[in-house]
Amino acid sequence: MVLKIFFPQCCNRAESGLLVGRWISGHDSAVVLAVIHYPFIPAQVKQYIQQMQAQSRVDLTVLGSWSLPKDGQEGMESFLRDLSTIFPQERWLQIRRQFGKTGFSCEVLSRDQICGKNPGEKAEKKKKKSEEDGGDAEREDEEKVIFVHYEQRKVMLSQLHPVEAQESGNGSEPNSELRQVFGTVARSQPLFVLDRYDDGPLRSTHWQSEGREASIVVELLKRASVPLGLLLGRMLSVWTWICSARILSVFPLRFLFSKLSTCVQLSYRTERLQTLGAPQAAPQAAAHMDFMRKANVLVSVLLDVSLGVLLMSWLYRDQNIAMLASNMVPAADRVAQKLEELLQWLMGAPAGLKMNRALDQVLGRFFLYHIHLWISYIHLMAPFIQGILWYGGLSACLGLTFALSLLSDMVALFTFHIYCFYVYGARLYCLKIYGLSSLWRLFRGKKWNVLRQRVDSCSYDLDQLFIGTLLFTILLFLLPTTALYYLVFTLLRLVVVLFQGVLHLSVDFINSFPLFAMALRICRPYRLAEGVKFRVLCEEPGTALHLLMEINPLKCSSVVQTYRTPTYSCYPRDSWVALVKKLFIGELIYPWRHKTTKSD
Amino acid sequence: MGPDGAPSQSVPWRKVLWEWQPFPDNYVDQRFLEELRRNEGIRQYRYWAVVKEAGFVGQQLSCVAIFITLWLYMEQGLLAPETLFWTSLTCALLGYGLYQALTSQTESCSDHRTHLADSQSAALFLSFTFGFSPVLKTLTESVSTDTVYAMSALMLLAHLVSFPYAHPSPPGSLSLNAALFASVCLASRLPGALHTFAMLTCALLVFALWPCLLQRIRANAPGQFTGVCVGVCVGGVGGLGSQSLGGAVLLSLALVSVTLICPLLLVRLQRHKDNIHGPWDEAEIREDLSRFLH
Amino acid sequence: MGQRRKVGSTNTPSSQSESADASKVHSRKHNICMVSDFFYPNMGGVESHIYQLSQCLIEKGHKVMYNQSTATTCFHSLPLLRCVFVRERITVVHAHSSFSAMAHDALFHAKTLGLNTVFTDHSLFGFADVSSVLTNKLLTVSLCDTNHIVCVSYTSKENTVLRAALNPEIVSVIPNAVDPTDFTPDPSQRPPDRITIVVISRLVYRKGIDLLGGIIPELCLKHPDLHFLIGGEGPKRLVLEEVREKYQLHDRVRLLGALEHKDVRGVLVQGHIFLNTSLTEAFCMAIVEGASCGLQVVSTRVGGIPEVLPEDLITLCEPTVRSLCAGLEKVIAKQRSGSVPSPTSIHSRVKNLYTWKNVAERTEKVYDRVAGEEVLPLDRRLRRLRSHCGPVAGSLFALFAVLDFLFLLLLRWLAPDRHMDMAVDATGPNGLWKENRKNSDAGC
Repeated sequence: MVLKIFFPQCCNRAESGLLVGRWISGHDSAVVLAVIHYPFIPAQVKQYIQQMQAQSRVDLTVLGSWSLPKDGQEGMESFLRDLSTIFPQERWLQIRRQFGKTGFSCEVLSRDQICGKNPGEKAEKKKKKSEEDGGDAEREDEEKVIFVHYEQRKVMLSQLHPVEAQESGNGSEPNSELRQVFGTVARSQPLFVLDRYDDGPLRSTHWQSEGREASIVVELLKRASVPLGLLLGRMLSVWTWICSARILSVFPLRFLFSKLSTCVQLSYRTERLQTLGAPQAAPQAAAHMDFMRKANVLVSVLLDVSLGVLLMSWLYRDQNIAMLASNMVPAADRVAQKLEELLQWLMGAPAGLKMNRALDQVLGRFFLYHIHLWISYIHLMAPFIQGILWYGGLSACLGLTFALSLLSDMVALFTFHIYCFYVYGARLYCLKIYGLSSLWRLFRGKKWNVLRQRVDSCSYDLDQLFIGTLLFTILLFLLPTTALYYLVFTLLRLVVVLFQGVLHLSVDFINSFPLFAMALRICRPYRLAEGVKFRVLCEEPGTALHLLMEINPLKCSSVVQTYRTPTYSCYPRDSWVALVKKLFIGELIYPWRHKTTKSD
Repeated sequence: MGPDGAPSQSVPWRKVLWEWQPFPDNYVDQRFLEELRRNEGIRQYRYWAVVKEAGFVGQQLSCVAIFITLWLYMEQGLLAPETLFWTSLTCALLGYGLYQALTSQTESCSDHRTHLADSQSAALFLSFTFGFSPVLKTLTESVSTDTVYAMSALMLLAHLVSFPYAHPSPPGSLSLNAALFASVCLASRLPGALHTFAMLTCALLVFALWPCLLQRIRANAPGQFTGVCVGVCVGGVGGLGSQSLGGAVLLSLALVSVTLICPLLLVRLQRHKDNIHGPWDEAEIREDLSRFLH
Repeated sequence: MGQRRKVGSTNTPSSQSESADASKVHSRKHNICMVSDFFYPNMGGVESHIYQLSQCLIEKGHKVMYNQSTATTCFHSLPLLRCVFVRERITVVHAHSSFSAMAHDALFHAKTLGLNTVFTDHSLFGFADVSSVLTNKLLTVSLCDTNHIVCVSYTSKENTVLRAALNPEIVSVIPNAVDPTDFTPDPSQRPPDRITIVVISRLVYRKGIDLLGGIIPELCLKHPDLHFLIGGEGPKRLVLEEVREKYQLHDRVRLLGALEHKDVRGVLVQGHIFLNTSLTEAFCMAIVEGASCGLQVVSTRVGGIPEVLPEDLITLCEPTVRSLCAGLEKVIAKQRSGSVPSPTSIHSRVKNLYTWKNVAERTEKVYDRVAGEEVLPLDRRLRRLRSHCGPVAGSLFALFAVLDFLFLLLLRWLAPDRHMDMAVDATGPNGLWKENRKNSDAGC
């Protein structure tokens, strides 16, 4: 067996004394947390350790002794060994360091060796010999020791993430050795804080915080933010109360709200802010996630609002709004005119395609009338547009995401005619495709068995065959006309959907991107650890192996993956193939899909 | 060299696996391959019988020719749609009478269709065709004539290939549909809606009803069947000849090869047949098992 | 043919001495490579045959290994097969099933590599249609210089000899086998108030499922207490479903779908009568399994089926609905009158008919015989191909043989045989692991 000792780097040059730390249960390893210096009173040490145990809930013990002999302290060694009888342990570590040597040497005394002095001495002699031989000659009861040096501050602050890529089964195992080491160091924070002012009866070496002034500022800020938080919380609760009012959940309103992305964004933001006020989760890992989530939400909200204010300051300067509004109506007119030209082109012989003239004319006139209706509606609206824009622009003070959502809604409203065209075209096309497919089955003498979901053979009557073939012929010859209209309007619709999709994606990005975690990853990479790597420090033949434990920072992609705030994903979830298939058979895409998933 | 250590022939070898026998595994008995048979159950065709059966194929080919002839006449305005319609109707009524006459002799009770159902079907055909004929007329307006011709030719070919010559009544759905599709395509090129209507009625008569009647004749009056076939073939060649001589020559060549030369080849080639049969052959299911399903 | 005879005569002494001295039949151990496209985990007749035979041969101390692949073309498999053959020091290549492309490949390449080959044919083929003409030609080429062929029944032997134009003396008949311990009767599982007919087969045309679709309504209308239990899956399932729907037999005809091999016994013991409607069958394992479970067997008289069971255990019918119904009616009447032998007595008669041990012993004899034979050198192989397989196919495959040989030379130049590391026998009676364990046991 190999005994692993996790040793803090800051204790490398500590004066001789007692090692305080913890044995990792289930593994053959020990974590050294601090060194209590000589001189001390054993009773006080015991009391101190008990106190620490109660505070940090880590079963701290005295692991052994540490000696760094200075001049004139030759008797120290035997004294330190005697200490093992005072602090009874299963195993007693004796770590020594000599000046001029980088490596430590270590002896492990088990209980019976301690009690029976003679055997202990014998064992010790053997051990010394073995160390001189390089530690591989005898192996009856001898244990090889590996020192793993770690940086106490980084380990204390870092959060170890389970490795997801390889095997989630092993990675998520709670009792892995490394996890316990990290947990122990993180939880024994009181040990490091307590004697901040060095006035206790004991002196010890461990990591100590340096920026005390900064922590005072942080403390003051915390105090100050309490009333502000209270005020915000009160406002939030009023707003939630309004939102939950019965009148808003009546059917048409709720349907409307679920379609308007501004409302969706509003409800999402409310929900996020509510989580900020939620009480802290108890277990340590959950608490970390909770804290990170809140910090992410807070940072992204702040960023969002500041971007929004920037946008607003641009909008309300130099009559920008009036300019926008005056450009709006001519733009809509131009779009309508282009559409009209397109329809005229379709009603001729577009691209030399052979369309059925009668059906072509009917469809073209129908759509032209629709455009006419739309234009008159826009002109009716024209005087109010500036006002709408002015008040809509105010929403930017709630955040850039609100402004973007509003823009998306306005685009949806202004391209309503395109949406209508698309729906008519798709319905007509869909009907035709269904008819053709079932008549094609009739053509081959087959039928669709609804109960069994398969194609059966079937003998039709003469009149059924005759009428079926007649209809099939008609539908087949009319298909190109409908398909062309469908194709053109689908393309138009796809352009609009693409624009809206880009807006939604950017809103979603701002909402969900874990800014805080990303900043932490960049500025303090050790805070989010994915694992550790070991580097050999020195491997002198006489001493034990020394390793330096360095923290592997979490990969950026997995930072985003872990800390991404879940959002409502409004973009379609089906694959590209499914989308193309839907387009081909004329099923309605994007907005209706969303509705069906909602109703489920 | 013989098979390994053939023992004394005291025990006769049996062709069984379940019994241990004192022979090596690769033993070859005299009875090896004794169940081999050649050309078992081969059918001896008689030339004129085959020709008579092939007559059905020939007359179907001629039917298509007659239909095309009628269409050509209509397109050139030589045949008034009213004339065609009334002639078709008369023919249909006459044929129906003949059909009934042939039926009443043998199996009138097994047929489920009543006269009412027949007249309903007829009314349905007429009304639908009449109602749709304006739509059908404009259907292929913008499609080029060559495309329409090519499509019709393809569909008529599909009709001829997929026609169930063994049991033509009722006509198979693929063959009938192909023929109707072709006739709709052709009829839509005619000058008026009434032309279309008359042409479709005629198509229904030629492609849907005539095979039923012919099958009935074949089953119940085999003596007349040959005559009818020859009549149809002569009619087809003559009709096509009045429009295009080359077409008539081609058709008669096709008819001769289908009804006379192909059967001759079949009968001649039978002599060279050498088929090995034995217990290893996959058994054939000769019964008509579809009676359990339909 | 002349060469074949020469080869045979040089080997007669050895084979005679082997057959004469029955006590030391297993004087030499072979390294056998089984080649087929079919293997675990899809279970069928061929798969279980290979598996069980391999197990028995391994017990006898031979070394058996197994090769399987799906899509291979002629030359692409040579490097792979060569690697396997050389690494495992294969002495005999045993290919299975004429449907398997890899089996044909292996026979061809093994000859190029100078190995002796054995081929087992599991299926019957007709001579009438185009596909069988082509397959038969391919088989002729493949088996042209194969040392020995194994067929599963006498009918199959006749078929193979005709198809591949072989000398019948190099064709042995070794039937398939059934593990009788897997198929024991259990009359308590039979429902007392009804008569159940069990059918277990793939639902495809060759298994005569159309006939079954005619039998079911015919018999169910006559016997109201008759039930059908049908295991298996396939395209013809539709026929059975339509019949069941049309005659409203949902409670009496149960379609179990695909069955695992281990579940077959549980289905068999629920029935009284086992029905097999195959249209062609080389050796029907299913009827042996049915009889082993104590069922009355009714089957069509096709292929090798009449050779499989003694007349009093099977009722043979012609492959028509009427004949099968008559046969079934006769058995049903016997069942009702109680004059059928008990399931246990049927089982005890069947259980010793076909055992894998017997099959393995007989196959071993084939290996012993084959191992002594000479492999034709390239020039004589080419001459034999030309003379045996006809001028066109013979020349074509002679060209292939030359190309194959050149390819092999190239491979040998690229990676010489002596540089390939030899595989170590790990398991098996004389395996390395076993010996190690023995040593360590002795050490303790």
